[in-house]
Amino acid sequence: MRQGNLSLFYKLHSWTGLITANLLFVVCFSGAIALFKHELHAWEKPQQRLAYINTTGQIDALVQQALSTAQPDPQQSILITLPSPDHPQLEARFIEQESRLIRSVFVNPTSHELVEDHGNDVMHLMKMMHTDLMLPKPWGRYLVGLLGIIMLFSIVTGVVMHRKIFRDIFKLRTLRSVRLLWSDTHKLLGVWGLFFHLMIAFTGAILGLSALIQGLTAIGAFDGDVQLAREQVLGKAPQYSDTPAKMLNLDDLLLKAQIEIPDAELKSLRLDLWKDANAHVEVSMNQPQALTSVAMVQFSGVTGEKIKKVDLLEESTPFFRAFMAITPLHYAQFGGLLLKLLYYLLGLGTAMLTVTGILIWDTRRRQREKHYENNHNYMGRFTVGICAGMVIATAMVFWANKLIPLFELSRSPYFWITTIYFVSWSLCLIWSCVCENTRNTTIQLLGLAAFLTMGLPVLNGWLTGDWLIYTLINQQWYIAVTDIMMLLTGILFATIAYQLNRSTN
Amino acid sequence: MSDKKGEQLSKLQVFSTLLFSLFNTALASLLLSIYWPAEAIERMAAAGLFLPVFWIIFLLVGFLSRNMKHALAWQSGILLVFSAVIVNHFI
Repeated sequence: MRQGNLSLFYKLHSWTGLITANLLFVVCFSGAIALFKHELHAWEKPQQRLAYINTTGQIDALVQQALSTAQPDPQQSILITLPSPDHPQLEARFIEQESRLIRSVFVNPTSHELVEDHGNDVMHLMKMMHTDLMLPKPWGRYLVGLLGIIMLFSIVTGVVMHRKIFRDIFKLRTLRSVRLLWSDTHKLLGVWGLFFHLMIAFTGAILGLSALIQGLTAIGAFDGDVQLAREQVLGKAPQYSDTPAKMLNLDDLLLKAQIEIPDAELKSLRLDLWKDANAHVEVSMNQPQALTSVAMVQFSGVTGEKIKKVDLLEESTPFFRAFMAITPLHYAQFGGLLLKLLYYLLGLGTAMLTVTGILIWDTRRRQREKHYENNHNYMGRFTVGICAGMVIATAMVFWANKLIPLFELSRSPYFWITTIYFVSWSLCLIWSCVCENTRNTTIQLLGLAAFLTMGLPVLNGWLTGDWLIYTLINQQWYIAVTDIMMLLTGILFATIAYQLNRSTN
Repeated sequence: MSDKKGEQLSKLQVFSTLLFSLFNTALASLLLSIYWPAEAIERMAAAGLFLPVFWIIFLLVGFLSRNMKHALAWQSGILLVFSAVIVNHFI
């Protein structure tokens, strides 16, 4: 490649990184944590740490119990998540008739009692940061989608300009200068996780821009009828008749669905127009260990007549199947907890890739312009404050989740969680911007982040009695995995701080 | 404007590439969703999957061109060839 083009690629790579790296870090880091949606649910709420039991033949009774005290809007859907090893309780999610708020009710499958729940504050915060950057909908989602496109572009330019891609694959010079440490780490993370970075950027871009893509492609494929396009994917919604009717037993419908698609595992139910004469019950299933395994059977909730059956493994076309693989691929919804942990580590790598990129640029610029008087490293300081600050703020909300219930506070836990999150993040950012030596600030903040994250399994064990060693022995993987995730994060940041301390300034 | 070696990008070229790549991507995806020889749902999925790919191609072509005029010409050329192939092949 011509030297001019190579230099242009370098500039494009630098500038796209400079403009978006901090936002990309926020999206990647919060996304890595949000992967453990079900596991964090149990970690956040000790009262939801139940033993999994087989609930065959009990689903109807559990759903009746969940809806006994609730007032769901009769014209909206009720989503039922069936008990599974990583989510042992039955969950009913619906829009409440009076308040119009989304509400979740949990039932203990063993005792058939309602489980106390006050909302998943940390999980909700992480999810909102990842999918919307806490911005109003749908603009936050579009921005995240656009970041996916920029990340794809950045990866392509990075690969093209990295000429010695295989020669540098094992190179990590820890005892040389800080710039070389960042540079080697950037290349190693980029090359080893290349396919993961490409996949996560591609699927993230499509998920973020899905509403726009749907609207655009519906113009061509369905003559602009977005509703028809949605019905093709999700099925036609039933019409509310306002005539009450007696519902069939859900266990019988589940049995019929299993006969229709025998190898699939039952996953969830959608009850449309529950207790209306036109009620539908949609049974969703998963083919175990398959990537695109969407299987669904829809019945009339009154007569039990089969309305629709979708089995993607049998009848789908290649592009539609690939399109349906985007969500499971992005959120690691296939392959279990070990795959999620692998995704988590690779996701941290993607986040680190953006930070190291900025730090390389900053140190290189300072070395080049060291004779200038106003040679301040504002970009480096800001990046360290945003990125290390976010890790500390995240660890702080996990601590807050465990400590807030010990105090009687007038405001909701979510208010305190978000306040602690943004205040601690801002403090770290101010500290980082005030301190001139970026290297020392990075060591300090990463050290604090490592201490806070590694302390979380201890705090969890101390306050709930579920020490990591016990959860591992009892094979309560869905609780243990959050502690393991925190330990791994702590070890990673402690290692970086240690290596940074050893390197020369 | 860019220098002779093509190492500098003008603000105009950056801005026009960003804008034109967005327009061309939307048009290319639209063409795919109309002419891809499959059912409507499959056409929609294909167009959705190819959208990021189109966008990256148009961005790279725009930025790697010698100047703004070349960027617009290259992007339009690619879109025209793509349209001709897909419309001629699948109608």
